[in-house]
Amino acid sequence: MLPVRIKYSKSELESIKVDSFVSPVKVSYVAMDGDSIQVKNEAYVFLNQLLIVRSNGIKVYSSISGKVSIKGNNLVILNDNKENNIRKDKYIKNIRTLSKDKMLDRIKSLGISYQDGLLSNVLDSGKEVLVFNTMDMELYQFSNRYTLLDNFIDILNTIDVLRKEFDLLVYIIVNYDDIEIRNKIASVIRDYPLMEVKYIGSDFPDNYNTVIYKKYLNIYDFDKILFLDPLITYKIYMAIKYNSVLSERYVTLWSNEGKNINVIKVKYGTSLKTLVEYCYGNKGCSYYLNNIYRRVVVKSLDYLRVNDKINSVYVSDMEATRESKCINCGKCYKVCPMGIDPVDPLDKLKDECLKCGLCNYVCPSNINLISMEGRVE
Amino acid sequence: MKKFFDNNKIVNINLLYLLSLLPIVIFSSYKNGLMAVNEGKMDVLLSFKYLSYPILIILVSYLLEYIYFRVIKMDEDNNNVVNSLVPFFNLLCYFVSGPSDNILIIISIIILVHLVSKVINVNYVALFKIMLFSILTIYGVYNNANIYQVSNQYSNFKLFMGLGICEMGYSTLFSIISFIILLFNEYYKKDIPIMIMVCYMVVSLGLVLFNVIGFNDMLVNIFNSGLVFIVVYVCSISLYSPNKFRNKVIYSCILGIFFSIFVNVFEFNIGIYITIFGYSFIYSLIKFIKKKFLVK
Repeated sequence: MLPVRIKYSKSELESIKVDSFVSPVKVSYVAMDGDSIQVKNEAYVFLNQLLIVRSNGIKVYSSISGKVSIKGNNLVILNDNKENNIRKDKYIKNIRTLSKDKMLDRIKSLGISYQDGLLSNVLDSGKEVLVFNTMDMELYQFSNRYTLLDNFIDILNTIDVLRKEFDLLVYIIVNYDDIEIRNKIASVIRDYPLMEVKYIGSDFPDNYNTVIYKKYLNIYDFDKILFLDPLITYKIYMAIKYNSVLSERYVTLWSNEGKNINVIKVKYGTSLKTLVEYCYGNKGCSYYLNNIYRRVVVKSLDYLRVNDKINSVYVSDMEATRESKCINCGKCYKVCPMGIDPVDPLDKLKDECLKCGLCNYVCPSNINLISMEGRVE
Repeated sequence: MKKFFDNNKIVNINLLYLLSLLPIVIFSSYKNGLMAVNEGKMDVLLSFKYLSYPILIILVSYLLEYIYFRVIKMDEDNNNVVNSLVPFFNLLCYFVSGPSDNILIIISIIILVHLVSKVINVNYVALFKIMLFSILTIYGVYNNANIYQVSNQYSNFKLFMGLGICEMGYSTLFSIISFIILLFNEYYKKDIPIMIMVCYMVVSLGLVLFNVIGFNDMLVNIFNSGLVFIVVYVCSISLYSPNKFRNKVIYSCILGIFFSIFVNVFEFNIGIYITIFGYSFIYSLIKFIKKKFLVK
């Protein structure tokens, strides 16, 4: 039996504080080697104005309006709080009227990212099945949940449009224990007769796309499946309807073993340090990014900004856990959903690691088994 | 939901292991101490040594670990010392030694094995027992009888209880009780003792069928050799046993077959430890070769 369940207690769900922090003093972005900066130093930038084109074609837009200052590879925009949008009034009334090619053109021109590539390339790669996973990937992450709840009909309509235009089979993955989402889906699903809802249990990491595929959808070729979550679907909606990108998103901040959860709507490019200070003051001495069991621990949030990859931050009062010698108890192997023996350096399956972190969770020696450095050999 | 970070998981495992040994501690002090007092062969105060020796062994173990990690390895904190399984191993070493063995010899061999175990990953308890057996045999003092035992004629029930001439912890009944306690330890590899015993019984019954041994001899051999204690504690030590089910089956089959042959055919009980030691040595060797030559 897996030791972790994604079933939050009533008190945990009731304690969630949904808030917004959309007027930061400044936002900043970093241009990497090979990226091209599209604005000049000291220029005025509008909301949604193109700032950087990454070497892989992904485009970065400003999430606020104000004056930009460029220092080396770092772009800092000082917020004038005017939200002057460069793309205002450019929207279509009904997204169903847009053809597939126009839709792709819009997504392509906006350079929206999907995992590490371009969304337009993925959409155009002959997918046959669309899996819309409503669940957040990691424990104590509610970013997708609240994005979906806020924009429920828009997101479902977008999925339906994609189904129709790209001729896809659609499966909606819902956590059976999330009553609010389950009820909402049940109340509208009759309007979308060609979408099939699959309810899955609460065992972590059953919500991972790879596990969903392995357990429920392995009749299809994995490469032919397009996995979408509420955030990326809402980005597609924004692209189709407004020919624009998202300037803000939800980030989950939590501490105190899950008793103090904040789901904050925040502008892209906002400093995580500012965000943590906004929620918890100067509390915390180490910070866990995304999955707590994966143990991506940072001592300082100074250089971290809100982007698509950071969904949650756990603010810990403790110093990083102390590792001790492996006792070869085999618990990590027992709980691994992919059947990997993390302490065996020659395990043939180790490339299939989901990095869910269950091995770290059960390890009595507190060894970080995910990182290669921590792998016991 | 469980706590996310717990630095004391191994301490808890250790405590459960030590707790599971409590029935055996009480039994051994009853058998070797209290019963000797009843027989008028031992002073009441002296009989308490069987209760105090386990505590002494645990203290010595922590001292050894402290010296190794803090003094030799220069660790900054006591994490490795506190989370060490060595006290448990050393307590097992104490229970596989005879009741009349000198505690100083036991501690000396423990120190030696402790040093060896830091260099080679071989079964700690098996190595201890082989060394103890060799040294005592060389000096001609290998004897498992306690102070009042003269006859080796015991009923099957007494042998099952562990009241025969045998090592300190060799009680089938109390080993089974300890096994039940260990079932509550989620880090204990409970399937290994079961698989070894099943394999052992199958081979032994085969020997009974082919008239190599009698059925009663088979039972006496199980009770007398401390097989259940060894299988429950020594064979299932996590550090020296495999994790994958297939490897566990292979491990259990090899041990079960060899145990049965050594115990029933040759009546050479130390062969059990030689098998365990041999397996862990070969396993470590293979692991070392793999690591050295196959891991990029």
